[in-house]
Amino acid sequence: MNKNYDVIIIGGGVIGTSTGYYLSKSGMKVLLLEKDYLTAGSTGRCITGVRQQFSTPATIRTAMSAVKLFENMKDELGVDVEWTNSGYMFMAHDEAKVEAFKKNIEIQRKFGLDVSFITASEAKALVPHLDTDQLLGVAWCPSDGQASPFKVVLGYARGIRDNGGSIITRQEVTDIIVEDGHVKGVTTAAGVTYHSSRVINCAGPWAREVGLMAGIDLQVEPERHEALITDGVQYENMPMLVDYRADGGYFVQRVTGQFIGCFTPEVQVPGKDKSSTLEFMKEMSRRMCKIVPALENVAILRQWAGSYCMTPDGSPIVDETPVKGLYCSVGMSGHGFMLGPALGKFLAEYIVDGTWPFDMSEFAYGRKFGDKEAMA
Amino acid sequence: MRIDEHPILKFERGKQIQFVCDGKPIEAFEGETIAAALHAAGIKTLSHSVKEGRPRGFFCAIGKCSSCMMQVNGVPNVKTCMVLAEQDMEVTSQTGWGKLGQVDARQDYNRKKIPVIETEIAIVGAGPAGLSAALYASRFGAKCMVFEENTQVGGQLIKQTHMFFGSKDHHAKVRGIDIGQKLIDGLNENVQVLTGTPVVGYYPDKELAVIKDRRLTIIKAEKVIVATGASENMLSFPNNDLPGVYGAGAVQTLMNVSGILPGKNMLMIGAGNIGVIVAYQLLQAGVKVEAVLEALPTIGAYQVHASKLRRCGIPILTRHTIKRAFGDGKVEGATIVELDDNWQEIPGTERDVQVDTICLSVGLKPTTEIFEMAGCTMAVIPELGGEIPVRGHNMMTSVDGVYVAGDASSIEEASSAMLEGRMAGLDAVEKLKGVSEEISKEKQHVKDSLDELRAGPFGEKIRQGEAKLEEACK
Repeated sequence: MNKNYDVIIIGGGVIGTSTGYYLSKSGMKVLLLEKDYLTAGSTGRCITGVRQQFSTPATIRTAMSAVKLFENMKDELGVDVEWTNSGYMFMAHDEAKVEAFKKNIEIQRKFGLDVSFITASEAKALVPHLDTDQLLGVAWCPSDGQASPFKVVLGYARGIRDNGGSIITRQEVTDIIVEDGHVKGVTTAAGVTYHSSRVINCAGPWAREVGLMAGIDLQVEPERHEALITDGVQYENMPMLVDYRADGGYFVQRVTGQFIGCFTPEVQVPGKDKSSTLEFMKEMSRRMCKIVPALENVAILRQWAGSYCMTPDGSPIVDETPVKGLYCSVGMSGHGFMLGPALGKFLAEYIVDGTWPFDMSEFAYGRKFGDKEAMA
Repeated sequence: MRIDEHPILKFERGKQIQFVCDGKPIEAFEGETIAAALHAAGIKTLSHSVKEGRPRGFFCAIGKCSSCMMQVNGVPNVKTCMVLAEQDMEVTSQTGWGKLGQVDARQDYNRKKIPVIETEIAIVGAGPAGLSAALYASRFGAKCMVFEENTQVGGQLIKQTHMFFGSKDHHAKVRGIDIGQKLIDGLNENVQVLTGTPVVGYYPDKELAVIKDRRLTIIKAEKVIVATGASENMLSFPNNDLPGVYGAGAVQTLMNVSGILPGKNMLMIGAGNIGVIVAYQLLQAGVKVEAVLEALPTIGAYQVHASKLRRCGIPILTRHTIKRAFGDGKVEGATIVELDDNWQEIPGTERDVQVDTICLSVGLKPTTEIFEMAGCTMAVIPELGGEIPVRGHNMMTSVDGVYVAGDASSIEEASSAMLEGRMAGLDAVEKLKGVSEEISKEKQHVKDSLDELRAGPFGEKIRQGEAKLEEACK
């Protein structure tokens, strides 16, 4: 068997499969290796939201490109990924939030995003179930949305195979072969060596371990986040409701009827622990009912946990590393699913013809880490 | 149709009440479930499916299948087989999901306290295993709380009108319905049994999430005994979702608990003990049983049960299965077919039978979600019903202080479920209160009794399963 490939991708989440899809589409012979099953890491554990309301130029533009890709995904991949423009509402309950949101909106509008700050009663008209107590207004972007992470990955994976690429699951990469500063291939736990002059680290929460295999110490750390999903009710076209107060949370009604959501824990929990806590279930249901009281009558179906792969500034690292031919698309900081399609396309284009669509220095490997992203 | 006369059972119905379903008044009796009352009124289609909008009636009648979900008093997705009918209730059928209702007044969710209740032993399920565990643990002084998701205690015993076999210790010659009552009557003041109270989650350090009076309650226990029973297997054939296709247990619930006939004429699939016994019970209740089909070349049921059916002229067709159900919105008949030695359909042997009810008795699957949440080591042992928690002779799982008993541990009979429950209860109380000669003697007795029950040719499969389980323990 010929084990030479044009490119080897490590990781079978949205990042790995989208990158692999666009590379295979350009004619490259792609091998994707996943240590578990496709979507087993962070992608299959996310809460399905896709937003463009970011606060820095590169994130805003990447997210806007991603939404365009989501919109056309059914035609592109032949899979209905349940893309729906259900929108995102960022809720402001104090003046400081109002100011911060308005400032962001100004930046976002510069890039052509249709986003505005609307009053609480305007929000209530859009979401009749919303509790507007103490709500001063919301940042509202109707073109934000949601999609099924499982179907997106399925679509990209099928595309890779249709384009002649290979995907091997339950095949863990244990070593990256580097000679004279150039990447040469990978070795797996099964003892198999695959050869390529290009390897892409798309390992999500395991990105640091994978980087170290080539001597590259990426500044990323996994962090535990919990989530839950309710029983379904008839779809009411509710946007993702984001409440950033200390006792807030964010959730959306899936087009399939269920409400899915999470909150950022006050004290961060480092590591890849995937166990669920009673505390989260109690607290999340309380927080959801505060925002949409009618949820009181809806049962919780299941809860789970997953890992964010965090960078110090909350923006991803998408670049070639100092090892020639070793690329990384990591540190999604909780935004992998929403940015994934665009980052896959951008990195593929960069690998094929050496150019980025716009200034991507915000995501550069060698950047200095400064401020945290405002809407992280 | 309600059963007025029955050779064994007497139905004491509660006060007559009335509720509204899709705008129509429905007569019901206090103490019966919404789904049962609707059946009595001839309404078998309770919902329409989410994706295809196909009509659905209930399959299981004990809260496991979810096809009886309706909107009740504004609350979406209520399993109507588990909720009692009440005067003036408003019931609406759902197409797909229910609607997100309105709540009257905004509440201060920050101040809402989630109740926490402490107990020594929490027992999940009030069937034969759970009640036996409570009976013996409480006898030796342990405080027990038993959580039952259905409206009645007794589990599947409350519908068993046949007499049990075995020795006196196995309640021989006593009908299942009476055994259940005996267990309930034997409970002392150390035991609290809560019905309509499902356990929905297990968390570390033996904390259980329980839905009590439609609100979350946390139970903190020192020992947990899980006796969640089993769910009925489905068989795949076209139109197996038509209203009128039931699990055998659901038919028993309707007939023997609610006193309501599932239909006029029926086809039974599966000639194991349950299939044959339920077919006989249907006959007793006045239903015409067209035939009992069995895919195997031999009848699995005890001969004494099968002979009773045959004496009544009911054909038991071995090497036969159902090919499809048919009917417009409900079961109107079935196509049956003969099988060859390789389980393949023999072309040309198809024939149609006109029935309004199809009953499936094709095995059970242990209900194991709680063990998975608790992180118990699981093993797949087909002889014991599939995936089950690994456990020792004392019924403790790999998680210290978490026990299993009954069908959740291995698909057997009520007799063994009671003994397993008893063993779990005894071991739990021994670990809580200290070793005593009396408890040790009891445990040895239960072990011997279980061995006795599993002796002989009918216990062979279970013995093989138990041997595999011993292997898994190492």
